[in-house]
Amino acid sequence: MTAFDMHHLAPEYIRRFEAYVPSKPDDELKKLYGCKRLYRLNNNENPLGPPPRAREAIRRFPPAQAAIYPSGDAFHLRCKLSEYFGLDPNQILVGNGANEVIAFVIKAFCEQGDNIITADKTFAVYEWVAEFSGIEARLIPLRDFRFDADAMLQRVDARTKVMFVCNPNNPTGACWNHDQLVNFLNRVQGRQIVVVDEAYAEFVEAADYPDSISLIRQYPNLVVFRTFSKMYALAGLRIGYLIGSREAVDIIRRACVVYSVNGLAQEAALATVGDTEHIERTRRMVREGKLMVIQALERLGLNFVSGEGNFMMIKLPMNDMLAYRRLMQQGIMVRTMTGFRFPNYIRLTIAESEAMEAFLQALSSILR
Amino acid sequence: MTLSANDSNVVLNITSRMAFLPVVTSFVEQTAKAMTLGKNEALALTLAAEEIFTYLCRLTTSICNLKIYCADMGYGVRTDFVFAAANFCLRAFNLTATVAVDDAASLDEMGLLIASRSVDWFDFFEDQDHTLHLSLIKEKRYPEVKPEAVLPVLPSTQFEIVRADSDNLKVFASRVLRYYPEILTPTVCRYPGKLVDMVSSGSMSAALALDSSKTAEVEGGILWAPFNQHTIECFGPFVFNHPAPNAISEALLDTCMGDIAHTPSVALINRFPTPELPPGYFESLGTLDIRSSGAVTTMPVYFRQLKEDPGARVWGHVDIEAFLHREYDRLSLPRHITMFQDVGEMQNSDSVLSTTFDRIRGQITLRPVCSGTDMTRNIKQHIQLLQKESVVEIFLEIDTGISWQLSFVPGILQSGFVPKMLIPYGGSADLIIFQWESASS
Repeated sequence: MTAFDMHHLAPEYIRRFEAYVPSKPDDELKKLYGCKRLYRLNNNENPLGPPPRAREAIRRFPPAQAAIYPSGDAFHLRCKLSEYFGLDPNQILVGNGANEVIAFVIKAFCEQGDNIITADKTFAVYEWVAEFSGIEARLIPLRDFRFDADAMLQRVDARTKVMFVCNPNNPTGACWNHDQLVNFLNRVQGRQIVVVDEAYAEFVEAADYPDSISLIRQYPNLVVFRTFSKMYALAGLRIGYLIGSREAVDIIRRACVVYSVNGLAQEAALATVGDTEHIERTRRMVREGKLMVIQALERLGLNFVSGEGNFMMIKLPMNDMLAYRRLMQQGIMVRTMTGFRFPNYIRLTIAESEAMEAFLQALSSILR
Repeated sequence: MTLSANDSNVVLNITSRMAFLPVVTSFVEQTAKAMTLGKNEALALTLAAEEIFTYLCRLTTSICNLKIYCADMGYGVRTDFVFAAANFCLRAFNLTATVAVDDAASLDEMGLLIASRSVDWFDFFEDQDHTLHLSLIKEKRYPEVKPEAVLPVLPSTQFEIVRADSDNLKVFASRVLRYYPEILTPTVCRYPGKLVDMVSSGSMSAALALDSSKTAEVEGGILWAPFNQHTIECFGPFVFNHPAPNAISEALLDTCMGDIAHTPSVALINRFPTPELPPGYFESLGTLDIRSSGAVTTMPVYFRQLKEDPGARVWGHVDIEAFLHREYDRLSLPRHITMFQDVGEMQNSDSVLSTTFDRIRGQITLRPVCSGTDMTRNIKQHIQLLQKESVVEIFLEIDTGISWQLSFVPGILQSGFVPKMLIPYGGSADLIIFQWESASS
């Protein structure tokens, strides 16, 4: 067979897009950086692990069940979630992680020439999915580390289909409160789909954090994302979901890949629903961890951005990529923020005190 | 024979038969003119294409299939010849190549020499499928401007960062020439028309700082462009009449980095840092001695990654092993170094080095194109020729991602070069920069 140039087969927006390269597995990273231990403080994972009932569901999962296709639309999980939130099961779509439901929404509502609006310094997957789907992503600068509603609305035109709001925002932790979200929805006037990504909702302690799910009845163009990856520590099983009005979900379902969520993930997620004890234990760990880190950062004279969520951003007097390499040599893995357009910041996942102490010790040593 | 085109590219599929020469020359000339190259420049590019096609047709045995691409770069036209030709002789692309008039084979190669000298830039490489890619670039002719006395920029407290329009870009270029020494001035600022064309065609990007008062004075700016497929090079930040450090320079750099944050680029390099480069953004790769206006300046070179380093396997050579380990340790870069070994396999007789001129700074950069048994002699011949031309700033780059390039190392060291720095991701992997030191040669 002769060599075949297949680039011309790919659309222009695919040719100019570069595939995301995830970091190497832990064993490879340890070899590369010559470290014996590795604290993963880069992905906002919950170090407490899944809640006990989810662990039990995973342990009980019969190996023979691996041979059987799972429920194609996560039937039981949708029923349980709808019961918990007081919704119709048809208002819920479950995906292979929240990343997949982002793609469902963009595919369902956007075509070539359309655009989406989101922030410039937020979770990058909205922008990526739009761009590799040939959809323009309009990126609005944050104002005081939070989404700027006025600026977002100013960029709306006839081809704007979806507006993504990450609440709390990853990586700044800043939130819109109930009034801000309602005001935004009123100004949108139902002309676009408004997606509120609440991947970190279960970590939020602010009393005025919006109850977005209850707003769906009033705002049928509102779609809410949730995930089992963060608070419920099922990141390795990849499961997340969206909630919307029946009309919105009926459209989104047409772009939805069924059977994409494996059976083990569905069973484990089912077991987490309503586990408030795990949430409280995790929140306590995050509170204590943040306090410990903030006190140390103040001693070191470093600026930081700490809002809601199990993470915070730290401004370094050095470039974040160099800090990453030097911290990795000491077995500490953080997330660099250049890719989030916050050069020289790192994002730290809050974990238990042993990991936080190891991080602070390593940070002090690289700043010397 | 087929012809196809899109917005910026025209492609001719043709075979290497002399009868098709008029087709090729007509294709290149007319396409170049359509892409707004001036008459003389279009003819020079056509001459280069004619020589290359003629040479290919004279190749010994079989007719080969060729693709000839003409691409509009905005500030010039790029013509690429893509073909499989095992016997294609690259020797004539050495700067030192000479032609013996009594040697018919050598006369054949003269056409390539003419081709290489009649364009502004050429490059060639062989890909993994043993397909040769030979690229020629002919730029438009732009008038050079001299630094002009401009009204002093009064420092303001409020500014905004904007994407450059052509009028502001011209003001910016003029102010860079006015406020900055020659050594820190990007060559393109001498040709504002080229700068405007490069920015509008996307070959270069620019952000400017404007005074946010009514006057909207250009208070500074930053330029950036691809250094290679992995790395972006930025120039500046340039800030006029503001003492460093200042908020403008940080905002300009943040804009540049925000723009490239979600691109495939993995690194940002700054080889001519201004005093306004904010501290903490970059890592030092070392220094290079640069001659400008008769004086030698020790120029720091800065770099930063844009993505987390995934680690890499690179090639090294025992003669520079200590240098490699020292630099990788200093930079905390995870690299697995495999030493290149000459195990006696058959080699070409003729090595080839490509040559890039920076006429403003009087610099030459040599890069291996292919190895050969004459490597050491070839490097020394280049040095001798460049010395005759009074060029003393000579650099040689070795790509640690390409094993055979490391075979040049003994010859490089014997010729008076010393390893000066590593540029991570400066090539297909990291780039070793050697600088020729006349005293030791």
